[in-house]
Amino acid sequence: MQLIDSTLYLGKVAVPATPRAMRKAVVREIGMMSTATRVWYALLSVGLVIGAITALLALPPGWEVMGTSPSFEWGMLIVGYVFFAIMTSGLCLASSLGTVFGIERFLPFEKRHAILALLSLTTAFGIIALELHYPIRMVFGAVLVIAPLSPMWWMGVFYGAYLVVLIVEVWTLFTPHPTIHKYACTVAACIGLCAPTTLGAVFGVLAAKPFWFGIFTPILMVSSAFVAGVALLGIAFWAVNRFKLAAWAISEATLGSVRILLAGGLIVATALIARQVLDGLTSDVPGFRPATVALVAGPLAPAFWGGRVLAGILIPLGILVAPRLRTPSFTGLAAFLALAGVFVDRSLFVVAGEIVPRTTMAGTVGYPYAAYTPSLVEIGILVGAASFMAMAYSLAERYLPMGEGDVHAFWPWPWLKRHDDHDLCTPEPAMALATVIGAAADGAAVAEEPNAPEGPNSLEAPAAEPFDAGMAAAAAAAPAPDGAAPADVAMPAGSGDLGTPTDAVGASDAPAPEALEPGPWPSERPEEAG
Amino acid sequence: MRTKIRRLWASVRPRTRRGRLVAAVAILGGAAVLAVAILAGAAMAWNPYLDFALHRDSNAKQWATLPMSFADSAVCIRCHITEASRLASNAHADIGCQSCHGALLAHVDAGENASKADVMIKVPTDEVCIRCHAAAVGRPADFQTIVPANHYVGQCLQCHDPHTTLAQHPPVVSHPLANLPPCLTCHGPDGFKARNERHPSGLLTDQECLQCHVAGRGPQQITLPGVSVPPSASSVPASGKPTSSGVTP
Amino acid sequence: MTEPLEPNTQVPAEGPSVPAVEDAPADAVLVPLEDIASQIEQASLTRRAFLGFGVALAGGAVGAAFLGQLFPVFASAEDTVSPLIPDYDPASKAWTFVVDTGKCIGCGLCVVACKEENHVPESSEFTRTWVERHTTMTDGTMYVDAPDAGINGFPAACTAPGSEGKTAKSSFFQPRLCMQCADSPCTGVCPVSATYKTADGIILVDARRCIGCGFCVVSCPYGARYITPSDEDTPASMPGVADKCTWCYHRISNGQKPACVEICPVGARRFGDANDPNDDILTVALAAGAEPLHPEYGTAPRVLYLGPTLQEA
Repeated sequence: MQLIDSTLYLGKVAVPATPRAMRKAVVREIGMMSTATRVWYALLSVGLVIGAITALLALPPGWEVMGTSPSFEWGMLIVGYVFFAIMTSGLCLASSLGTVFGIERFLPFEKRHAILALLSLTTAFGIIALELHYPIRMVFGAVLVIAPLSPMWWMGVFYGAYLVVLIVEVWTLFTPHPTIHKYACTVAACIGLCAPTTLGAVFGVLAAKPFWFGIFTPILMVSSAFVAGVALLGIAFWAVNRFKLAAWAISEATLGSVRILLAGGLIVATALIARQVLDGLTSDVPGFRPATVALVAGPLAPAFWGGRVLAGILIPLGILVAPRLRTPSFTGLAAFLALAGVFVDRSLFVVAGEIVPRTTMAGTVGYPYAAYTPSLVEIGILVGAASFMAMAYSLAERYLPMGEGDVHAFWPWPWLKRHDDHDLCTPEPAMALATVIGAAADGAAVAEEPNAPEGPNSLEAPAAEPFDAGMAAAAAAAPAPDGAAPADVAMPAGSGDLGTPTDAVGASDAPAPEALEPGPWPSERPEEAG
Repeated sequence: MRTKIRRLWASVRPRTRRGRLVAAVAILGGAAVLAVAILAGAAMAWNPYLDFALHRDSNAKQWATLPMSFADSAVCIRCHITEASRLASNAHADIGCQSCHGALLAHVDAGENASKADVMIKVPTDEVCIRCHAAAVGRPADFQTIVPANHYVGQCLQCHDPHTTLAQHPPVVSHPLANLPPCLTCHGPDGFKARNERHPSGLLTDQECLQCHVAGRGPQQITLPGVSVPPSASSVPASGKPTSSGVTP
Repeated sequence: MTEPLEPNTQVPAEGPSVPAVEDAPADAVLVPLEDIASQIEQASLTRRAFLGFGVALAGGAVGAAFLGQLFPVFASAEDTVSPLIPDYDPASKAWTFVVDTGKCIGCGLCVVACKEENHVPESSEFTRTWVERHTTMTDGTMYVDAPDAGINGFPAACTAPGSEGKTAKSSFFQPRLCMQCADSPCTGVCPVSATYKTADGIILVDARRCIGCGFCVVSCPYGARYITPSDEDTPASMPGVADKCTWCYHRISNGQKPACVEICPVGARRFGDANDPNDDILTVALAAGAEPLHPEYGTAPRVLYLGPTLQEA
């Protein structure tokens, strides 16, 4: 997507940036969609409208539109914020295994993860802006005055920095700045660990809420983040595969990596939940046991056993380990259930913490449980938030070049890198060009080492000499007159648009992937490289 | 690292005289503008003498200078000597005037021009008395309480003087008996004006009640239109306590 | 800027060299450098702007600090004109609040007075102070009820669900308010530092800075805080911010007692300055065995309680 000379280039489409042309373009695009796609966008639009209306209702500070009360101050909007925020961190945690630590088995989509993370964090900020009564004050108050004793302040710092880093990361994915992108990925992975920890600390420091209190809450939050991130990536995998959003299929290795990560995350989550329930049932801390009893045997029990345990853990785990269900669709189902389970988990967590107040709260005694019913405004805002994220991601899939294959592994310990290691830095044609520019202008030696082009997902290529590869990449980036996608050559491995990988340079005997006909989605364009 | 810095500088350093001038003007001018802006903003935000500042002291001052509504009850006796002296030796002695009469600072501040108009509650209603004196679980045993349902329903002030905490007998009630339920409906143990413990226990018929409670007889005077004195009335002494006719006090 | 580019002069002597053209692979298509000169320029421009702004910002910060020394825009610590109210030295006060649950009759006048004095919203859901009734039944169960925060007094029998039909064995009233904890959790967790402790130990909320996140509300183990609703009549006249009992800061800093203390007809609430030689509130309270409520919460609460509540587990 580029705006050059008042013309918007969205993949294949070039639209003059005038309202009339935009309208015609929108009409034409809708006409080009299939019915299912139209229904999808229509549903999302309805969700967005609901979200917009409820957001407007929620904006005036003090309007009694939320279901919260002095005895139950944190409700579904906090749950929504926590959910989207940890999803962001989880995406970076999950993808950092590949990008930062270079375990190529765990290489997920680079661009999709970055875009999903940015959207998720934006959604989270939107929800919290609607929850706070004076969000603008937070910008000034939290920035001008440091509050190092407040975990919420640290959470703001980390997630704020995270937003900046994510913007940089996404920006540099689509523009020729590979070095900055590498560093942004690493910083994002680090923050992806710090941020949910501080978010967990927001709950964990509250001695007044014994269900939340304790050192395990940050750990629980990080594990939830991991499960949420992997689950969302799994759903993205499934969507890419199902709707042919990329011209290649998920390989067994990638699918297996999603299964391993998700199963591992679910097992860790199970252990942590079991620990919390057992701790609560045997604890003497006043208020802790009643809250846990409310969770497992009280009003929250149906949601806990049915939603969290059965649908959120047992069924996904069963799907993931069953040998006959190792298909992308079932993995997608398991991922979806796991993600829903994380949402249920977060809402039960927030509700259980407040449902048994340790004391009369501002004169209100709830017997035996404090009363909270999410208002329609809160539900509407969450619906709108989810619709926003789904809509933005759908549009990104449709109009942005999402070719994968340019995963950047930042290897922090260069002396550990062996020479015959596959190096996982594969620049796009744009970045390869930038490499040449950089090499020419700065004499930079940090050229990315592109993989030898092979099949889309096999990354066993031996490391090429930097400059030869750089020149080859630059050579390949030149517009090829024969019409074959230049990306074929310049983007060696993992390219999303390789129709015929076999004529790439240095093909090895890696098994060729299943050839899918390229879908109706925009492919890499030379002008995006320049 | 040094190489990197050197390369970075090489890529950004101004290469022409004009470029050098532009860079210098931009950086120095920008720094000057930013310095003034930062200082002005900080001064506005943290100056304790500005009302809207973020300074803690200015906010504490705001909290400390809010208007008050309640006065110090000790100042009431300066003017209200009569009530104060009446209060001095009874159960309500330690109660501030505002507990019943509401916030009185406006009245106190009016000084010599103070009038009843400034007083929130000139004559407390029954709710003020019932609030403390209704029997409820938790109230200390030595605290005077009533069950409002069984107590005389009228105005508390008809019989009770809060300033002296003396209670008179409830006033005589003009009490026509036409179309009324039996006496014990209202004056039985479940009624709103129960008989006190000096009454004979056990159910009594209306006739037995009327042995005493007739005009000219008994502690309570009931005016009964056209009802004559019952036959056994002559055995009742003037003090009102029935001794004969087998009715035990 | 249309300066001629001389890329070769920018290459430092050390470091890896730019690959020579003759070393390129046979099938390489060489891109002339002039074609990508604009890219280099673009990158340089961005870099320059970024670095220039950074230098200007740093210079601005240094300049602001320097200017701040020249112009006295901030009050110094030695300034004799106290920004607080005159004739009031907060640091010399040791405010002490004593609540006697043995005397409290549950009339609820304190709640009424607080609402009146501090313009607390009328709904009973929002209150700065309240009264609870703790009733122990003959079967040993204990119920707590606070109908409408006690603002209308208490009905004859316990109103807690599940207590119907049970006979009360013992009962007492427990007035509650903010404990102004010495080790308060609420001041620590505020992300914008809107709530703070004054020199005389009272915790206040800066309503202009509060963002209404509710972190302090959920952090108070005594439930003393709430977020103001959209009533017209709210303390600090602002909806959506945190509020709580301030021990009537505007009264105690003017030599008065808090409104609830003033109005309590039975003397269940008492207030004084422990540092004042004429005020023996602290000694009297301690002599009677006054203790804070729920010290196990770990917040070092400063309201001292007497009476049956101390025997409650």
